[in-house]
Amino acid sequence: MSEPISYALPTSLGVALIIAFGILWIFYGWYLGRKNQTHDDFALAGRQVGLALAMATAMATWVTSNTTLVAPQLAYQLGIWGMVGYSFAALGLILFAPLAARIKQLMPMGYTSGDFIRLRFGRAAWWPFIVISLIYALGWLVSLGMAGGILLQALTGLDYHIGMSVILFICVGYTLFGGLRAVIATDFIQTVVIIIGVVVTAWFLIDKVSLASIHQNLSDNHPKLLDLLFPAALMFLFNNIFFGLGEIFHSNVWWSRAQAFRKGIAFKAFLIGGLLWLPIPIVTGFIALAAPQLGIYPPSADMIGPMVTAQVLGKVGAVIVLVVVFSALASSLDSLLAATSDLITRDIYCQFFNPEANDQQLIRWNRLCLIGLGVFTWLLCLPQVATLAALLHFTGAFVASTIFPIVLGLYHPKLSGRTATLAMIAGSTLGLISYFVVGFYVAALTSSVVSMLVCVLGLRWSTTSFRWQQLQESDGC
Amino acid sequence: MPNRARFIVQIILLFLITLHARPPAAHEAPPSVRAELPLLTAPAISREGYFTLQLQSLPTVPLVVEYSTDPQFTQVTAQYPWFADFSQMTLSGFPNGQHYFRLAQAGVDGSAPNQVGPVVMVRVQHYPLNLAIGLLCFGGAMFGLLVVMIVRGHWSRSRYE
Repeated sequence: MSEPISYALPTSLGVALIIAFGILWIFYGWYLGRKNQTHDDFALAGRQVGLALAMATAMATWVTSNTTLVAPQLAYQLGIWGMVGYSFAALGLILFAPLAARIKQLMPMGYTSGDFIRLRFGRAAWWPFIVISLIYALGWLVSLGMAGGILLQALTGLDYHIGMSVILFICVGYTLFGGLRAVIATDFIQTVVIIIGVVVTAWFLIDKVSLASIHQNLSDNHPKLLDLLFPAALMFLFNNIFFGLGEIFHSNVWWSRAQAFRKGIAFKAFLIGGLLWLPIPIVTGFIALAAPQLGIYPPSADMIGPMVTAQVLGKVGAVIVLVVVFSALASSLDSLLAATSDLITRDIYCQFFNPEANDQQLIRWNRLCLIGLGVFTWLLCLPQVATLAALLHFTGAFVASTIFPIVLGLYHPKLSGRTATLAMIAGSTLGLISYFVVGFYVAALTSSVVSMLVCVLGLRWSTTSFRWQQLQESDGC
Repeated sequence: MPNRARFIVQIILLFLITLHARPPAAHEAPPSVRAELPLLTAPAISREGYFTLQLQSLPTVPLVVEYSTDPQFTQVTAQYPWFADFSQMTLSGFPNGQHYFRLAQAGVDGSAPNQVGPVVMVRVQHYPLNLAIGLLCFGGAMFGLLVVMIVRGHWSRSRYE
């Protein structure tokens, strides 16, 4: 080897690009935020989001660091199944389509997933649910902050801590000014950027590196990546699907979108968004399989996507990767910040501290929560304790336990609050045990199986029947 | 100057400071002098065929990791160039068996390495295939059940409404 492999972009160019985009997003967020008059406007964009924006925000929010950094990571670690299996996370969006329609039908003026759990199952179930939601939200926020730092480090050599801080600051900034209206509007632009960027990258990659040579290299040197009977990859497959389902079904990110969409379009928006999302992890994952052919062996597996693209496409490619991944990160980070601060405002501030709060107080609290979440996430991101995939799959043990209580809670009046509570606690506990004893491949699957068994047994012996009208009763703010 | 404008200017200045941040030494030319190789470490076992090799100190010269299935390295099967000045490298896609690695200083213009480090071994032992296929089938059945539950719920509620 004659020359050391080094970074694709000068640090100053990378930082300048991020700052330019950041200023643009913050200004746009401020511009859109001027229209916000009420808390409904700030938190749910006035409940009047049309199909095009709805579809774009569903897709863009789900194109996250997971898709742009973790999909290549899993392709690099688990081969073909890692890549294809990751794309099955689209099933979460597709299966949420009927649930979103049902949510809008049952709670036309509802706000959060926490509202539903409290009204449907009572406070006993609300507590484990809110703990699960906050653990997941923090896990995802930290993974996104980390992804920002990793991205800038992989492409420019900028210190991880500086890159992570800059990206967090920008996303908190424009969400703070614009609320969900800014989040959804920027998501639309970010979707266009992501699709164009991914298509251009794939086009150049296939043009420059032949499929035959990639296949030959993998067969010779990394045969397991092409093996369809790769045990760890097979174990990962349905675990990842259940993790994705749990993420979407429980998270207020998706519930707030279902509430923000205009009546009658939630089903179509999530269905089309899911179908459009499906091929993206295949494209982003595929580029990781070219790494050995190019002589790229990453320090950390989650850096492989940006490194390969930058190597193949040079500086232009590095700029494309930076813009695309930054857009993907921003579109998820802002959504999660907005939805989590809304959840805390509605479910904690409104329920426990100020049930009579007016619109201005709610908006002020929402903004304070946003800043607090940003600072807390920044603190948790500082040590960079795990790889992105490991961190995300840890939360899988929690979120998968909510799948069956939510699905049955939306359709089956006989599921009681006690059963739902027990299902979430038992599912999360055994999911966590399997995460540490067996591995991340089984955490979400174990959690959902246990939760399902509890729900089925609970239904068998249930004597209660829930009145759906109770979901429309207001109990605060 | 109004407070808001001052706040924005201060934030922009704060960002501009980051432009002067020093990246790790990757942009700097590596010293050409012969230096001591850092110590390479590896996990003893991997159940997934991927693992991370670690250096005990940051590299100061261009490095490669040499791979062989033979502890004596009678034949070097592959060479993996070390990326920049990171302290670890992740490798993947290895089949069952014992895999040997050693660090070498990258030779100039493709010539043979002039210095090699001690050998480390990673034993790859994948999970049993029966277990994996069992979990796959179980997961598939669970997923099918969930889909049926949602579709039935959606249709019956739509019809009822």
